[in-house]
Amino acid sequence: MKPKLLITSLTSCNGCITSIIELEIFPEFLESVDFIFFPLIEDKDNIDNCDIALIEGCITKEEQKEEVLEIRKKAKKVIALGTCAIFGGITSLSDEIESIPINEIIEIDGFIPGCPTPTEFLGSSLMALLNGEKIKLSPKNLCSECDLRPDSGVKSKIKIDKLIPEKIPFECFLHENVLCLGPITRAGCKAKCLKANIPCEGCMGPILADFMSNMVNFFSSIEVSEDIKISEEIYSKFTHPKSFVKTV
Amino acid sequence: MDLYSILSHSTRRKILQILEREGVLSFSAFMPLLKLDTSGKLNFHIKKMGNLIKKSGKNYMLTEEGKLALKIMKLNDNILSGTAQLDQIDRDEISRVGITRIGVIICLCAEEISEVLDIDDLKRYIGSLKNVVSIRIVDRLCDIKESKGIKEWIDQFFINRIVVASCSPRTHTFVFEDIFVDVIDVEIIKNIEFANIREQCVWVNDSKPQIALEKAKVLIEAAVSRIMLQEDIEVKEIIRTQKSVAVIGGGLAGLNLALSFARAGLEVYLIEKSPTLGGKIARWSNILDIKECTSCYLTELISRVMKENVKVFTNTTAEKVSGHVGNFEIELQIHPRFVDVDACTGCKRCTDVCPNEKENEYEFGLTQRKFIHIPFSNAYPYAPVIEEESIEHCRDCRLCEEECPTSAINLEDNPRKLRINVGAKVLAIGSDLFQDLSPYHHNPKNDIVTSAEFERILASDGPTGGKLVKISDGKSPKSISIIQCVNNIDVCSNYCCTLSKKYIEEIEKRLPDCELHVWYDISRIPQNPVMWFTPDHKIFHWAKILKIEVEGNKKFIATEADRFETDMVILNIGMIPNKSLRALRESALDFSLDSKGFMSEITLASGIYGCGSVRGPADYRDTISATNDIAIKVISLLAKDHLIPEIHGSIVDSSKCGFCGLCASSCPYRAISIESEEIIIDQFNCKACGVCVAVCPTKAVEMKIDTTEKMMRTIEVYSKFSPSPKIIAFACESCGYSAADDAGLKKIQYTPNVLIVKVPCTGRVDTRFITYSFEQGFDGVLVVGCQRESCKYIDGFSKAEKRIELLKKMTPELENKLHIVSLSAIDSYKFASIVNDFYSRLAGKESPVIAATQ
Repeated sequence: MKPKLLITSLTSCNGCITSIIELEIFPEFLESVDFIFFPLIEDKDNIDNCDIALIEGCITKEEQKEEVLEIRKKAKKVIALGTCAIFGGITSLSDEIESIPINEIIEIDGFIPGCPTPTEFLGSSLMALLNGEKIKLSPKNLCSECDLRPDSGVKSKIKIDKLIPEKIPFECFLHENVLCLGPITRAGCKAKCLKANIPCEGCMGPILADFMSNMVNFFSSIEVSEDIKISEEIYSKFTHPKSFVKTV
Repeated sequence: MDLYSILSHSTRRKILQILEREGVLSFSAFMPLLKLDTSGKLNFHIKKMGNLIKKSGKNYMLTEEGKLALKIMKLNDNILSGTAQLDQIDRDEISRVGITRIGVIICLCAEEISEVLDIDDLKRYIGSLKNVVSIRIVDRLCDIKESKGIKEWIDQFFINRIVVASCSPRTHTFVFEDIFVDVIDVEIIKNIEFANIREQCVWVNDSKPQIALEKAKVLIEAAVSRIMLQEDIEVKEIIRTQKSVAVIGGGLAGLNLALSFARAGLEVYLIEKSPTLGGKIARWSNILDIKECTSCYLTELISRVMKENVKVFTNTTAEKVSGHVGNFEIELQIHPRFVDVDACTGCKRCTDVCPNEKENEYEFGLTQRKFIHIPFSNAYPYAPVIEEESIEHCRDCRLCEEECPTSAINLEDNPRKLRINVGAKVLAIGSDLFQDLSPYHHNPKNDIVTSAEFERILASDGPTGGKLVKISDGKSPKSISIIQCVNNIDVCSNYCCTLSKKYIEEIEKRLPDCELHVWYDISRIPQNPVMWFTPDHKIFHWAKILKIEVEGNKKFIATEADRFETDMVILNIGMIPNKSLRALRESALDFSLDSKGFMSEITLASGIYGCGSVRGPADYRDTISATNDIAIKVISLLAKDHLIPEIHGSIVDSSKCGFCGLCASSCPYRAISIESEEIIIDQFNCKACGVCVAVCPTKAVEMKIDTTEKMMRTIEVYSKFSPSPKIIAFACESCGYSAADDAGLKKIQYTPNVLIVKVPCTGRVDTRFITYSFEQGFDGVLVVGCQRESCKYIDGFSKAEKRIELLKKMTPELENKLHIVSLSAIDSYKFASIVNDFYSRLAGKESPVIAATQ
């Protein structure tokens, strides 16, 4: 029996489910599962029972909440696909609409972060799911995949005075005074942006559950020059640090 | 063969013991451990071991029978030595399988604690905690009479971890460690945890016994949960100190250091890059202040050094360094000299016949010298040398080789490598002289000379034979102008003022009729210059604009007001960082540089020291006092036979580490370095502040004792404390925690609704501790650290401040619930009032008045 798979999309750019189609293993993947719902292939009005549900995007409407709750009832495993589904993603930067990650509404069985999810990581995660295994998330930060390591030896304090690099870096962006969120971002994307000389913006999301403290620790351990305004758009473009203080 | 025949030989018993300790061991690894000289002997014994050991691959290990045999041996030993404890084996079993059996000692401190707390209730509660096997109530733990009873108690209950609930660990840790040193594991510190129920509980809350009791319960429970989480610590880096020092640089500082070390009984390697000892000072005419002739001074100093156990390597550089403080290995490169120093008599026939000449760098190029030459008349070793760059030319000529009466010249000489092991290394390579002299029209042939060149003119072995004459025409100058502060802008040379004083006296003595002026360019005078004279001195001039103008062989000093001619100009130049310093740092030696490029002070703990002008501009006096200072540091470091690294320090879990390097760039002691595939924490440099642990984004860096897990568990246990509103305070050991202790000692009563977590430094306070405290139900979080400028860990407090400021900015609702304060260790009243104010604000009440009960 092939596993029954449901893939659905909430408020999102459809980038993550498009990545599934782009996968090299997509033909094999298509062969080895029965789609009961896949917006780009298979469409239906009601949700049937399924083995695995992949949900892309975040919740911005009331009916999406109901949809997610319904999926939870029908699916054996629910997986958040992409950074929007698990951390709110770029939609959470909006002042007008509230974006709710699905794990605030339902319990999930795993997540595949990324904006969009990096193909190689997505492929291996899907294969793991089909084999009944857990998705392997790296416990390390992005720096572990980056070629721009800090030079060896004892290091001095990091001082940031640029957001955009002016030249091709020789060593770690941070030591060339350019802000890079690599240290507080989970590995898994193979540092694609950094290999193209673009500092990390954090689309893979945080490594530890408490992103807020991770971020505070990071930004307080580096010196940022006063003419750069470090705003929310920079430090939490993809992950909105939730407020943890109980309401009084 | 029966068991007793196998065990009859001591080597075979030792094999069992070694295997028990090491687990698995290869044949070759056995040899040194057993101190056997032939493999035949080992082979024989291994065959005789029968079924007690087995071989797997190349390695040997114990069989079950072997383990049993060991137990029998131990039991035998115990019974025969009269210390028989038949349950000894059970105890080993317990420690082997890692069962934690916690004993809690509650000290009544005479009646101080029992007067306030209901001890029976406390005992009942603590007794119900997991893994607590026994509670012992003692009257006064610090009384030496208690220690025997405690030993018996530990034996009776097979206790392997202890929680002491009594007074402050800050003052009493060492007292209690002494009591337990014989009964608990050697690494005592990891097996004892403290609950401060005196200074931070009963003494400050004696009027509220119910809350004090509840507080004592959570304090002890938190200590119990912390000791449960303590993992084994591997102390692997015990270093046997080499009783030897490498002194790099054979100038004034290097020679004096070598002498001090040798006299203290250390083996000294004195390594000099140039072909002779003496350094920069050898070229100076006489020594500032003491007026002694340099060559007399140096000759005497070198002869004293030679009398001691000093191995001198000239023409030698340090190439590679490995190892740690206490035991470094240095690879030396001995460059060819082409002359056998031992065979040479110093007859100088070779230099006489040499047909080739080049600039004499010893005379700053004021004269010419031969290719084969003796650097200067007081050079040591006194033997000629040929540079490697000239050798091809010399091999075509070979006149010197033919002339030499003792066949000391070998033009085919090759470089050699040598490895030495030393316990410490001192860098005394000195500095370079300021070189950007073109704006001053520097030209010795036109009598615009630097102070260094002027020293050669004054020196009796110099190019003018000690006569104060102009280089251009050999005549005495009628007027001399000294230009001060010829140095990098805003850097005081520290000595050009005093040097000018020496020149004035010298010139007035030798040429009484010579007109003399000293010029200062106001724009170049640094802040707080070192000056010896009063500004109204008649020959000193101050100019806003100061220029040297040259017209043919005429020289003029031009200022905004005046222009006048002078016969000779002396540029009083400063010292700049030695150009070899950066290269040395990259290739071999691990040290840091200060903002001006000199060797920084921060490195002083890693077994590498800087001395003399390598650390910044220094004259004779500064250098001599620095050598004494460094000599004491090195001698006391190497006086110990073993060095043991910081047991509290940090370690890296490479399975989580992503090499972002944040730990390395935030370490105040630069103890963390990034190697190609590894983060290295120098356990000797680490001072266990925990800043690196707080900044590590993946939590790959962890402290050995004050772990994140323990801190989080403490917060969880503390959150059981029921009064509301409640405050958690993270207090640094040296100041915040001490201030709270001091409040206890003075019995200052403050709100009981505060619980204190001891952290090594406020820089250790991970933002997660704060967010977790709020999640766990605390209403207020207080971070108490040192005064900002006097933080024990340099900038730990500033780091915590920055973290809290940022957290408040991102989470505005914390504005009134989170505070960071700095206190000194005796600010007890201040501590109490801060806690009270905070409590009142959280509770929406007026702050109560603080009063001491005594």
